[in-house]
Amino acid sequence: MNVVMKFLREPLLHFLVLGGALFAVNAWRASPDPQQAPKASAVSHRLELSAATVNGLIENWQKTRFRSPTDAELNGLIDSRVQQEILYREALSFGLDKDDTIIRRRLAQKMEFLAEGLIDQGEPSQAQLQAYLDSHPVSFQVPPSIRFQQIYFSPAQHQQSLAVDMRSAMTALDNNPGIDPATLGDRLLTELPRESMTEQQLASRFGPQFAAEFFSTEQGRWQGPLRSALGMHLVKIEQRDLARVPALTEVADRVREALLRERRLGAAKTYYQAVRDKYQVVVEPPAAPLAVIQSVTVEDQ
Amino acid sequence: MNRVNSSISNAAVCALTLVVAANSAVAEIAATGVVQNTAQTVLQPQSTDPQVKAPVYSPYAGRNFPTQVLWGDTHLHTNLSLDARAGGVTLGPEAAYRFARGEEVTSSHGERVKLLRPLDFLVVSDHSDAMGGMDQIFKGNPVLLKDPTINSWYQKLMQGGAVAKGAVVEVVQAFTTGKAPKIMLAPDFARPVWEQYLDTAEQFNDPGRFTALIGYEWTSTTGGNNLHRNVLYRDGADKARQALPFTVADSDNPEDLWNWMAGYEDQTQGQVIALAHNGNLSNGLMFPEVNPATGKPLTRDYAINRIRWEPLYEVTQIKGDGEAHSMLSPDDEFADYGTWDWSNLGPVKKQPQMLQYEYGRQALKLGLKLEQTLGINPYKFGMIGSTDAHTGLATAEEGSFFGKISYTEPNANRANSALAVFGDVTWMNWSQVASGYAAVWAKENTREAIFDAMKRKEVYATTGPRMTVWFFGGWDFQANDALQRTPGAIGYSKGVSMGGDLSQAPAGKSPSFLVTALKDPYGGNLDRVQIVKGWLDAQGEMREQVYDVVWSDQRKPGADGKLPAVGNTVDQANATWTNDIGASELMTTWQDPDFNADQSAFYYARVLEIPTPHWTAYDAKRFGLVLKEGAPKSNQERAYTSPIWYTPEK
Repeated sequence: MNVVMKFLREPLLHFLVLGGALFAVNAWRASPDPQQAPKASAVSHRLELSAATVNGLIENWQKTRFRSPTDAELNGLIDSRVQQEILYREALSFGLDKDDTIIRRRLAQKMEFLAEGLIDQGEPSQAQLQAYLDSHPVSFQVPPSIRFQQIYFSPAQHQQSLAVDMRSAMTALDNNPGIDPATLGDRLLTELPRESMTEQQLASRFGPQFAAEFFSTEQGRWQGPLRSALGMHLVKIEQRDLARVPALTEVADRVREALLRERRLGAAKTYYQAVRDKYQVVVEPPAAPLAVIQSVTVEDQ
Repeated sequence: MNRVNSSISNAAVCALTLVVAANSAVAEIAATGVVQNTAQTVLQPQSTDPQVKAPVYSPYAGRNFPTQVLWGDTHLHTNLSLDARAGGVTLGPEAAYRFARGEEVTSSHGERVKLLRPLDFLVVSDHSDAMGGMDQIFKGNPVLLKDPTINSWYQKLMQGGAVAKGAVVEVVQAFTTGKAPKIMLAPDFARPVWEQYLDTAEQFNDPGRFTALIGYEWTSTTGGNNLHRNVLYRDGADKARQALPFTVADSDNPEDLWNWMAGYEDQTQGQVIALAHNGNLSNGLMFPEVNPATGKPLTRDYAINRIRWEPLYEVTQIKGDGEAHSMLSPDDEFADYGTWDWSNLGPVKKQPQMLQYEYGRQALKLGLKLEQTLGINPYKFGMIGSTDAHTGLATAEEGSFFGKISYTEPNANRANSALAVFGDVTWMNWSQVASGYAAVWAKENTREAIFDAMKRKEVYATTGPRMTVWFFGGWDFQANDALQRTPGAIGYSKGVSMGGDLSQAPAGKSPSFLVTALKDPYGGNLDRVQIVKGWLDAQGEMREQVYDVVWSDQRKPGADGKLPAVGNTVDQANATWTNDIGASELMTTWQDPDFNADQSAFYYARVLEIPTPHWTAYDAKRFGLVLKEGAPKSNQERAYTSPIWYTPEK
């Protein structure tokens, strides 16, 4: 994101006359012009509103209101823009920007904000993304998953014979490896995806205890009974995929998002460190033991 | 056409807000679009074409219907909402999305919090009026602080404690009584906030995994009557950024909101719907017979637009459940789940005659009645639940409930203290309902698929648990259909899903229904499934009946026809229960025994869990509290499906 766009989207920006005026400053040109000397002697400044700025006002209006401003509305927009600029300049000429806590805080904030954009190095390269992924493997780790079969038994349907019925199903599975498990057990309403599932995904369908138990069973043979939130199950893990760090292609978007976020947050800090080095900071000790407020002086070198 | 006239007569409003196209040519196009869309909505609510053909080996081949329920919250506030920020929330939309998609975040009070399982989608729905404004007040924005009202709020909020809490009530009241400082409603203020808001949604929208549906809440509360609507977009930021959200400063009349929506769709070729907030705080204005804006009975145009723009209703949320009130449904022993019927937000006290215009079931009945005179049913809505939490945290689980607003996030005092005191009306914190979520039968997890499912009303509400519920209506469901492995396959091939329509009753046939409920694997077992029927009798009177259709534990109805209670295993002191009672799944077919083909009717399913601990029990256990008299001991959480309507041929 470029610096200008960041400014446009910055909510704070539009609050302050100062902020608005600073942003507009490129679009304005102000100069005393002797060639076009004002008729009234009181006129001493020139304020020019460029066509681009006026178009900007119109476009902004169109985008939110679904139509162009009328002549009267456009005049209103221009007038308020002119008024803002004139008052701003008059305020500067009175030195109202000096020693104002809010303006000081705001300008400091704007520098931080600018810094985030200044250090933006543009779109990360594949190599940078890969390096970021390599240095943050845990953040992008694909959790372990299993591919499995299960046979569901509804306690409500089997009642007293549940244990017996499950044992005989187990015997059938042991004695006849070719048997279709779908012919055993009861209907399970929840539909299982055919790809492998993580413990979290299993838990969301069968409850957490079942998911944990199932994950810790041995691979490759029928086991059970296991109790889930829905009933009883015979289960068989066919394949187990361990946790792994994904290839960049699988998670490029997320890596990019994280990398850009880190750059953004790190940028202001780096910038501050750089400018901080230009200053020798002298802090006067408190004048009296009872002093509550510390006086801090920052001296330009 | 009246529609065009009303657009023009609203031109004054439009000229002020400059959001809706005010010239009549555009209004005419919008009006035409409305009529066409209405016809579509009313006549063909089911856009799902099941395409179930002869059996093939793969049970998945040929399927073209939704096989998964996606879970989400359509109503969540962050620090951009004035009242939420005043109430202490510091989390913004980014944290809200992260939390909803399953990440651990730190709450406004420094508590680490994570959902038991992620949501599939989220609508951050901050109030459009002065969106982002309170955050600026807290930051001491000098332009805003020049306003004396804002300045006084700021001073009080900075003091903290009871003074700050009082200021929150003041802020809410200012915005609910039309006394908001003008400076906070200016478009120049709103635009950059809206842009940023959309950028964040784009950042978190991750098709196939997590959907960030764009939306905002329009917060009409004149006189304390809560007529809020959440506006939801099918579109991305490219379209949504073409218009600023509609605000109460623009108009407090829902009809003007619909105008704005028509203007938006017309200009952007995008799509939006509005979702009405639970009507329990509207003091009789959410589902009117007499239009409060005109003082005259509803017109056909009102009905057309209402159902065109508001296909869904938020039937349950933290500020009360709005399905059924015991005064309106005296024969329903399960009515009054989390009822809030003391006042509106003014607070103006509730009068008994207001209730009939506030509760979902009654409104569905009123819709049938109005259809007789207007030719169209304005209240033919589907039902969803959501939280309306003002904490940035979409929590609806009893055991991990972070409350309505940030000052009621978990702490040792909240369960026994007041949420708000308005004069002599006190709302206790324990009356907060840890509810609810929106369940959407969607084909995939994308903005488009979720929005389309909402528009066809293939959605249901729960008070927090994630039970899976199928509900189909048709003319040929038979007992053995309930034995099928996949309810969807048989359901879609023989009937319509929730939100659908039945008509043209075959001679001598009653409608039959296939209903299946699967428990939430983390929740309580199921007690029973009920079908709620509402209809107009031969005299045109509104009637209702609740049928128990399938239940657990082989219970037998008593001599009075009443099914015995399922029991209660809740251990209040330890905030636990056991699933020794109830069923993990319930499934049946049911045929209406009292059907009359000449009478219009609707049917929806209500699924009840066995009793489980109320959220206050977890507070009591964790903070070592003794709960004050009046706090709920346990509750039977539930799901409400969208109805299926039967309309006789004319």
